[in-house]
Amino acid sequence: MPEKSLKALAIKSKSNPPGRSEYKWDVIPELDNFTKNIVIPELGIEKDGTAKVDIGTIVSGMPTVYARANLFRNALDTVTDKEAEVSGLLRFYLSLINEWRGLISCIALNYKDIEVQRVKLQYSDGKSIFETENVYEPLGAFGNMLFERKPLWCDQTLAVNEEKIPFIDVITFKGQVIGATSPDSFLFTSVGYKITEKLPFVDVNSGKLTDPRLSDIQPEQLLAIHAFVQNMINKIDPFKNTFNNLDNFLRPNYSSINRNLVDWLKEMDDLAASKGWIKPSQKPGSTPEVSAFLAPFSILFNHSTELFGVEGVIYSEADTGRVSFKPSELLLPPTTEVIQFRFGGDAEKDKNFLSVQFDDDQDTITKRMFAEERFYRDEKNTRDNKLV
Amino acid sequence: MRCLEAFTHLCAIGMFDNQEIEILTLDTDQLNGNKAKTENLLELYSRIKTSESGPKGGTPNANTFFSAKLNLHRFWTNYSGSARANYKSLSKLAEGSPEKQKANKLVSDLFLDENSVQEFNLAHGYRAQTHLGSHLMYHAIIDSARNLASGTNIETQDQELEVFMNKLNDAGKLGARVFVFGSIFGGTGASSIPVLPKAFQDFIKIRSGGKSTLDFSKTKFGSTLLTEYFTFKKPDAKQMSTKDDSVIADSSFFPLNSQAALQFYQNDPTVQRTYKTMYHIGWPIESKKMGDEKESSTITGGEKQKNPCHFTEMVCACAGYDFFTKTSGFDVEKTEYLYKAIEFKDNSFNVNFNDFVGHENKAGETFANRLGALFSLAHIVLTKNEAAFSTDEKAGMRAFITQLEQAKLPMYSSISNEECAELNNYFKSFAYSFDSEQFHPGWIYQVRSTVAPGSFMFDSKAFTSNPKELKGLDVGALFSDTQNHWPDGGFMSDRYNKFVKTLIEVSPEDTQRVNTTKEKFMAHIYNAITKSQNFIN
Repeated sequence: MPEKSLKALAIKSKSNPPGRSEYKWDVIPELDNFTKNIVIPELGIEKDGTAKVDIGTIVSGMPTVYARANLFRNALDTVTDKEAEVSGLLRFYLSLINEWRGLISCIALNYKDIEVQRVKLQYSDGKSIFETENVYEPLGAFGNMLFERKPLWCDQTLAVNEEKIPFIDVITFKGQVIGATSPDSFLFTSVGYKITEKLPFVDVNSGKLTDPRLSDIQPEQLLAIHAFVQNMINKIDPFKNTFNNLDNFLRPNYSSINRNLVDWLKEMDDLAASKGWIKPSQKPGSTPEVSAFLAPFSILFNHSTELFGVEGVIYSEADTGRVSFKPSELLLPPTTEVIQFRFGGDAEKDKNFLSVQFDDDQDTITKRMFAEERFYRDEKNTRDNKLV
Repeated sequence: MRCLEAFTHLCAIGMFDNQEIEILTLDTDQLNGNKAKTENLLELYSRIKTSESGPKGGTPNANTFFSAKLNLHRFWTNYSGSARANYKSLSKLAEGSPEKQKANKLVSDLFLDENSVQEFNLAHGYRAQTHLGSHLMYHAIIDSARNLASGTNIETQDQELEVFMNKLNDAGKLGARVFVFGSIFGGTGASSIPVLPKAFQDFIKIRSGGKSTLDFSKTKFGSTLLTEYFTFKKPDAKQMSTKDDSVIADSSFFPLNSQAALQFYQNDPTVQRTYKTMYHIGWPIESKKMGDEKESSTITGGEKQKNPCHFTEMVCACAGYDFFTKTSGFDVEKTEYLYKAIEFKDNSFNVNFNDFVGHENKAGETFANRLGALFSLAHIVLTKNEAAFSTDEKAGMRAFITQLEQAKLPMYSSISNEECAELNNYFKSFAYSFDSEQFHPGWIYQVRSTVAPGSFMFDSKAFTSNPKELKGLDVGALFSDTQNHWPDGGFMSDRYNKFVKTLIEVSPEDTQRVNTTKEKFMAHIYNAITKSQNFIN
């Protein structure tokens, strides 16, 4: 009698579990592979052959309000070969990875336009779920939905006796919400943002963030992103260590992220080589001086160069007697503008000129300044006319 | 809901001996046709078990039809009125100080699309937006507990939920099992699976003022993870043009969403800490289309949503049986994900009795005997005694009882016409009915049609819809295997007449724990059919 052919009564997957036990409920072997290889019908083109489907809007099957954040972690865990031909959810994941890299690039290149706002996930009246006035209020309700994962979304660097409240650091770019921080994937983008500006990390067609390697990027921009990514890689372990006090099942594993970032560095080198530029890894640029993030994400993203000075001379290496300092803390903010006052020849002749001016009343000073300004404007005009 | 329908029929065939089972239906759409159909079936089941002298819903019995006592509780979310119609209004995003509004909007816009997900009308459920659905279902259950605790805004569904939760709390102290039927590709069920254990736990905490909780080491949760097995009409742009209908489930996206959901279930620490077992059930061959193609638009819910039953739903019910009856597998640290394999040939599944409940300790034979017995009784009532073709109160079960009176078995004459009509109606739901000339397949006919042309335990003649063939049907020869056909009647007789004689030979037994006339009647028929089918020697 020929042996029966058994088929798993399961969703169609290229890695369907084998029909090994007749009549019994059996544990699904290699669950990850089974799920990863589920057969997805082609979604890219509609039947009329025109409109493309925005997969981002249809992936609504992950039953947690944190689906958006979870999808980024899944994308980083699942997509191991960015060049492989993918379809369905994997294609969506690939697009998320591009957005994720776009957000990192945005922080690296345009950190002056980035603001980070910490939103505490607790009811605004400070009451518990049992007592609060509106149980559906998003701030508290989103906090509730973390369930067992709540400790992971709290700042673990706080002292033991401080209240740990879950939070999200919302990232805005020129006032528009574009994403947020997450302990799972470091960053994720929001569902509905659209950037209309032409920037190397923006897909001009969709307005979504994207890997700048796909855009018209300049060598110095590539250097900055490369340096920023390298800095992130260096900080992964210190960041991860902040979660050491959590239960094992909650502690994050960043090996996929690390792998993705390392791959990205190489891809940036390859891009530079293809364009005839020096590879960023051979001549690294300066790490962007980002300071917008709060602990613990400041560990990953913020950077300030450390220098060492002694008797007016500045060194990049520490040595005996040299005092360390962070230029970003000493220098004027990057938004500072320089203005110049010129008081004319009288000031050059009289070393007490300024103190004399301050003895005058305000009206006299103002008149004098206007007179000075007229004088120099006339002088400039005369000089320009001579040149002509 | 249709998994619960299948589960109810498992109870009717007698798979849950000596059990009292608390059932909670959970929906966002109180008018949903599938929900109403299932709840009506459960109420009918309960009326069949009820007798004038006994408690409502009867008592648990053994080795007989309708052996389990089923108690139905219903909870539905209230999204009526403009203040609760969508996420934005329910969350009161436009209320409070500017800072509060800004922070609430920031969080909402990060995760939920502002123009569609935050604004569609929730009256017909979560429309496959499970990220929103899980959030709202958890808080709806918490909201209910808060209403009950404060004594304000208490509605019927809050009270019904509380009765269920009180029983769960009591049972949980000794060790209870909770099984959740739900798909992972739809709306309400898919949204609810991951949050229910925590929602129940927090409900109990709130109602007890923090004095009581649900201990997941004592109260064990199991669930189905049912993936897509049907498709339906695709919504068009015109239907989706209004804000109320800006989100409509599209079955072509079900596989994609099932994949996303399965990834979530296998990684989420809350699920893994609250569920012991999850049964993955899917349909790896072409899905059949549901609904009426003539409908001008996709049915999102409401009374019109009445989809036919499917084999996978029956397997889900059997997963529930496995979870409730198994004696091991609960000492796992993380959720176990199970599946089942079935014989597959010529692109069809060939279903054996053992596929449903296993074959250890002759479980498959017991299942076959019981399912076959109820199916035979359905044909006795509907086909042989014409309940399917007549509205006359003398047809069906009444006619059968009259026949027993003629065979010197008068003890069941006191069963009223109303009670007979309830049994007739149950069998119509179970097997088939006619509305004038129009044939309506019942549950087992529908399930079998989803497996066809594969084999389904019974002879294909047992599922005929042709009135002439039905009238000539041999109700003692339903099984594919002739070994289980009733004994021949001999010269000038038939299997049915022989069966009636068998009824005279057997009677209800003490071990069946039957007390009322109706319970004894059911047990008596069960014993006679069991003897005739020759499964149990």
